[in-house]
Amino acid sequence: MDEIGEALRRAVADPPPSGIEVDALIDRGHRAARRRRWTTAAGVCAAAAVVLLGIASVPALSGPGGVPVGAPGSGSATPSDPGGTPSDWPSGKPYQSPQPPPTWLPTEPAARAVPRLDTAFSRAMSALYAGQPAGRVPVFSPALDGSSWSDGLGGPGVVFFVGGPEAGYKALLRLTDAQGYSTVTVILAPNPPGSKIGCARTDSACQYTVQPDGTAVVRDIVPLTVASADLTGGHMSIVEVLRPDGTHVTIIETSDEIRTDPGTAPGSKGPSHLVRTRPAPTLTLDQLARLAVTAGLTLRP
Amino acid sequence: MTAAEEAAFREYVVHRMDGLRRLAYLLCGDWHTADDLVSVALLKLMRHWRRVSAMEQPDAYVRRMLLRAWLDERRRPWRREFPAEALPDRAGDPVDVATRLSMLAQLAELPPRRRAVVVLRYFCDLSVEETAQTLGCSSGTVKSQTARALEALRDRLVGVSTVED
Repeated sequence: MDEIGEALRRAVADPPPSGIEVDALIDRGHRAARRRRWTTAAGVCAAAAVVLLGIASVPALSGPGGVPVGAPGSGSATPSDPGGTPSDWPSGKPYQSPQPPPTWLPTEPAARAVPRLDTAFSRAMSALYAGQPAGRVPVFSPALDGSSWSDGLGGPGVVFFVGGPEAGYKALLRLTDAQGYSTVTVILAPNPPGSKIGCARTDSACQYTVQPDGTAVVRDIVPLTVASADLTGGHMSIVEVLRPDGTHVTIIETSDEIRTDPGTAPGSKGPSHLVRTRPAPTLTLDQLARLAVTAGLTLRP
Repeated sequence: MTAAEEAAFREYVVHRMDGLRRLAYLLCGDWHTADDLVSVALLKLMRHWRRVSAMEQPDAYVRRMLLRAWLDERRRPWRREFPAEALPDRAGDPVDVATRLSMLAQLAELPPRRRAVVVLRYFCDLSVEETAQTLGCSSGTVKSQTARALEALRDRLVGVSTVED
């Protein structure tokens, strides 16, 4: 045995000069780290843009009489500004409109709307699983670790948090059961009278229906994609509801999650990964639709 | 990576570079490829330096990365080895040349994982368990791979010793 070890050592006894320069190697490492940071940042921005664009584009498919998003009076870009978005709006400061808000905007104060929406949504969730054995009912709770939703939660136990009566209300919650968890985003936004929703895509995966009371419902499953090729394969279930009163309800559920590793430098971020938190979303599209048409989920109670 | 971490990384690289190059050479049989493999492993090490430097045995982690880099490299079509009757001639001590070329030729003929087992066990002096951990296989696999590799190597080395005598 020793002679084999000795033979191996003799075989590498006189190595040629190294072709590796330590300084150049460290420079390469720094460049790679910078590239990863940029790629990740670009990927996250692209993902956010895709989601926001997808949400914004569906109401924009308005037919005759509809008001496209971003057009004057649409209320989606700056709901309080019928004239559109001013280019000199200073970032970080609330925009002061020189004109009074449109009459179609909800007037209910946020302090009253938040607990009302919270109760309505909680009851709708309970009704969805009425009569089911306890073990088959997912536990739903606010997803407090959603860093992208750091603009203020309503408080412990409160699902909905405030974007404002003009911009609407948002909630981020987590449905947990024995198979894992999925993340649900609920958005309530005011839309001007005459707005319409529809399928943004022409394939058969998207379904558009109108209920007898005039409530329009869109059910769709869309890919969760970002610029990085490593992060393809995720999906989101989306249900949109436009009530006759102008309340636009969007519920998005996904069991795919983008996680970012911590970087080597303090405060930096490493590569991102797509993680499946549950084999499939907890709720079906029909269940999401039942939640979205819940009577209490409106901005005009 | 902070300046202190970079200094610690640099010191580690300077001290371990020689050993890593030799290990890589025994695995791949080519000094240029060995330098490439070591570069790849060290770049990965730099990326995870904070975590690795806190480990009890950072060398084991680096060896594992080096082995993985080599196995990955072998999967690339343009890196596949071509069979040859003998290794190219190299200048050196004539007494050692026979043993060295014989050893390298024999190593080159071994399947990759078996070659890795031999190098880790007899060049890096790792135990069966440490070798199994590095390769991500069972101790039994290491023992069986070692036995088969030694069977081939021993015959050749005995032949070389006889020639030298």
